[in-house]
Amino acid sequence: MPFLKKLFYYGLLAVLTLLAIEGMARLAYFTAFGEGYDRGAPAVAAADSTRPLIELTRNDAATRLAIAHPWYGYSLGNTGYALNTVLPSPRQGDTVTIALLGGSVAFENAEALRRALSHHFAANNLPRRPVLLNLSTSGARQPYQANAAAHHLLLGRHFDIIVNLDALNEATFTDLNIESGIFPQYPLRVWSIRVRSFNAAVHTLVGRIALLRAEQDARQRAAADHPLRYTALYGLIHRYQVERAGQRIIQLNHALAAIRAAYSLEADGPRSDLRSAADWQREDARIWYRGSLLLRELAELTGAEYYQFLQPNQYLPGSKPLTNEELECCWQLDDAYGQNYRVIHPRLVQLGAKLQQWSVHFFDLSLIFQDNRETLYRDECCHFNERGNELLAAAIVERMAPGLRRAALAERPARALDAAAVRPEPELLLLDADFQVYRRGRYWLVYSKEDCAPRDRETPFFLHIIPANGADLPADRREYGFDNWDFRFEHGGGVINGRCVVERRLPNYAIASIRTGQYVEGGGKLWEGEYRFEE
Amino acid sequence: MPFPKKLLYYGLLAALTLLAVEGMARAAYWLAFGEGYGRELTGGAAAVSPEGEAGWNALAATRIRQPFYGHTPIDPGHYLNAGPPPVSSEAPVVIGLVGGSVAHDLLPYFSRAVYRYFSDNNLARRPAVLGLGYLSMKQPQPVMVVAEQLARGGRFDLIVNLDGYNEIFFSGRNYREGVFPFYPYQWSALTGLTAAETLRAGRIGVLREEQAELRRAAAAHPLRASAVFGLFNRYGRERVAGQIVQLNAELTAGRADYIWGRHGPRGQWRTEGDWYPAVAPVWYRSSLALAELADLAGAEYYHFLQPNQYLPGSKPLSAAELACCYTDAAFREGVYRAVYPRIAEWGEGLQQRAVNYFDLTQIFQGNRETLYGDECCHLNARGNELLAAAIVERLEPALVRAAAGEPAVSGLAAARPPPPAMVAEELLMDAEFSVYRRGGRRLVYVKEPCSGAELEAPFFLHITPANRDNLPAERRAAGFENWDFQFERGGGGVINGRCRVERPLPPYPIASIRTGQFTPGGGTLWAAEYPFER
Repeated sequence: MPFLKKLFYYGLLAVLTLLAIEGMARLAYFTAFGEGYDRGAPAVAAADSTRPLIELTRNDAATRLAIAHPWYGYSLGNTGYALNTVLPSPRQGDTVTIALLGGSVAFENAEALRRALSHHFAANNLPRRPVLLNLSTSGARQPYQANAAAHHLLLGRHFDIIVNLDALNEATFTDLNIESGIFPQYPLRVWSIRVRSFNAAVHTLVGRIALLRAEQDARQRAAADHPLRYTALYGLIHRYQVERAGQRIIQLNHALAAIRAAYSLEADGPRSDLRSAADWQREDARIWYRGSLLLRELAELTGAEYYQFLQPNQYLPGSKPLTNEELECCWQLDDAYGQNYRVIHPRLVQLGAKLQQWSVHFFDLSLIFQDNRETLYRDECCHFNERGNELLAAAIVERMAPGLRRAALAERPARALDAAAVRPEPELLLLDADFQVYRRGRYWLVYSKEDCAPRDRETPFFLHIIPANGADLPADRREYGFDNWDFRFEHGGGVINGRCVVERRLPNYAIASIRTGQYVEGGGKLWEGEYRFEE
Repeated sequence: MPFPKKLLYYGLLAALTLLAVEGMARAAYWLAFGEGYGRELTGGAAAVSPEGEAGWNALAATRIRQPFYGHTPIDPGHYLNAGPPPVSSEAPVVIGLVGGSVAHDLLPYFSRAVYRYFSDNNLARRPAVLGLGYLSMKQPQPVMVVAEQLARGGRFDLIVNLDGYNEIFFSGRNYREGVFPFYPYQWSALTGLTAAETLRAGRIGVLREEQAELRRAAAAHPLRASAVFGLFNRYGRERVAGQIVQLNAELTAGRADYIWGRHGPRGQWRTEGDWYPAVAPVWYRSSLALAELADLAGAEYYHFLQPNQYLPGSKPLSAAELACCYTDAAFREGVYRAVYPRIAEWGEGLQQRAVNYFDLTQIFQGNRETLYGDECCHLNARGNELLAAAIVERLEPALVRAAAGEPAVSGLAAARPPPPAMVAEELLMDAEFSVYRRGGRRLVYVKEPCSGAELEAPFFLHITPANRDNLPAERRAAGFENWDFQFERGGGGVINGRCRVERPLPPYPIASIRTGQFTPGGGTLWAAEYPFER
């Protein structure tokens, strides 16, 4: 056979063979994956194979919301939050410091309580200025409150009054914990999740998933440019590899889920031999009672007064005539909140009476809305709208009035812990703009404005801190060159006789300069000023 | 060439080639690793982890985190994990011992001394000593521990606090490591990985699995006699170990970056000079808080400042002590000298406020024996005996008061569940110790007569649940839960020649328990099993 003919023959044979292989590959592709091969469509693994279980591994995002804490179980990951700061705040000559403890109802009530306190001090011409430190946090229940107070008091923070507004979380979170296999009196699942994510077995699984994902990414990138990407044979092999890796990732995710489901002393707490939720609720009420006594004791030790309020709740029969709106938004017949609250409430009231016998300022506020026909609740749990918070704060302040008066007027004798307090420090004027900005001691900025208008309080403040040493910046702020400590007036601010005052803590590192002011909506600035500390 | 000859020729050639390859591999092994090849796991990366490989989170292997006081021991039966024991109708004198590792180490000696005191003085009630101290605990952890125990219904007649060194030393270490000084020691090592760090830690985990696989192969592979195999295997192990060391170093370095969640709040202290004065007030306030909590609970509170070898003039150190226990003087003594005078000064403040406070730093002043056991602060057996005796001597009035009287009425007692009726004890096993079950969830070990010598051997307690799902994940392979304990650490004591210790049982249905005592050589002194389902 002449050479050319031979070449043609073998060439044709090769082409036909390749075409046959390609045809078979397309058939196999269709059979295996239920769709024709399309070189433009990247092979996609099963949806849940793409990432490891979010709640076990996405620390970065979750850390910003809640972090494991050695005394509270968890706390909000916000460094400016009063609960998370530690600077000893010795008694200031002109302030009455009130610490607010409790769960989310207390947390949400803080602003209304601040206003009510300011109003009360102004209306009664009390000589000092109230400063409310919000140490409450969502989901908190005893012994969180006792620990939070202990932490701050032992570090030297001074309180004149400690207010604890609580008791719903005691009623409801036990069930949630039992459902999740967590020791009923442990903090909510946040602790369990945070602790589980910090586990060598979890890290290894996440590491394996990450390696597989990196391989997947490399494979997908290669597939996009591969010279053989037009052939179904290549597509078949590529897709098989992608799917196999995807299946492996799913298996590893299941292994992660198994770790999440398995009991762990560290994450789930001790096992208990109390059998039923009812047993636990009895114990919850006792812990609530003991926690209150511990708080009162710690308060007394530091020369503070302790006030304990049992919060109202819509599920308590006869506690409020619910409006149509409230029935719509905020009341579910079979709601677990309600069922548990109705069970625990009589016990709390009974133990509250015992608290009073032990000279605790205990007030049951569960019936303060008994005749109120306004819409006050805003959700099916227990939280209030603005009006509800206003009324609740007023009720609290009314009952605290004797204590507030004592704190404002009397120089109460220094108690044992006061011996460790530091003297008040003078204020130095740094900026004289719309607000005057003072520095008090090394660590506090004080913003002050006479005759301030609502706009002054509603416009957000910016506070940019440039450290003397760039290394002092948190890693995530280094690219910007400054620490962002922006805030709103209601975070610690108050109005006394028409003067707006807000205090902000400064970081501990050496500061080169600060830039501060207020933004206006739309992007401009109401005012701004800069102060160089090294001058 | 005839076939057999050919076969012999090629066989010989192959054998010689293999021998040459093996010889070269052995030479290469020696050149590469500086030691001859032995097929057992010997030296290098095989048996000993190179420095830095133990890991950035080695601490996590020694303790577990706890949401109200930072960390606790791994032992699930420890009072810090199991919670306060139920209030018993027998109403023993309950003594809680809080503090750090020195208090933890002291527990058996203190227990023994207390029991001896009760026995020698024929005191009416029996004592129960609860160890609530643990390694590296420092104020305010003991306050949080006592508050939590009280909130959970715990009862104390006496709270004993032995502290004063961790407050100084571990606060200093925290400060240097960028962790808030009044957080638990090395809280940063126990929490808060960023996503990038999680992946790095995961890579370490994957490498450790590879390493384990290579080690298994080195020990059991059919070719392990060959140096060729050994060369590749060892090279693989060293490469993996090197990667682990590097990743650990990266993780450790990266973790110095400040993140609130793991370093805690930044204190206001810029230098150590700023920070030192802050320690004593926190320690002082914590002691006052403990006194107040004890008072609330109807208990008495005694506070002891522990001795330490770095306090100049506190003890003439023996040659053995100078060699073993005075090796980190540059840092430890510096910190101690800077802070101790303030502690002593604030301690006087405690006495002025009617706290039963005793400075024990000078109790070994004229003692030339070897009493210290390590460079930190821990005592050997003799040192612990002397310290326990010094404490019990000072506790004497409180012990007598507690033993004579009923537990004081307190606000907390009002919310205590009523004491259970006397619970019958059911004999489960009658071996060297008689083992009873009291109520549903407690085991009681009793031996009479009991000299005390047999109590040194650790007890094992293996619990097999009726349903394997009740086992913690890491115990499923073993098929049982390990609740081993030591007699005195478990709260046991000897009174009038009778040894008794109580241990909690887990709440799930139990198929069987196996218990006994180990001997030092690895055997068992005695062992017995009880199938609960029969």
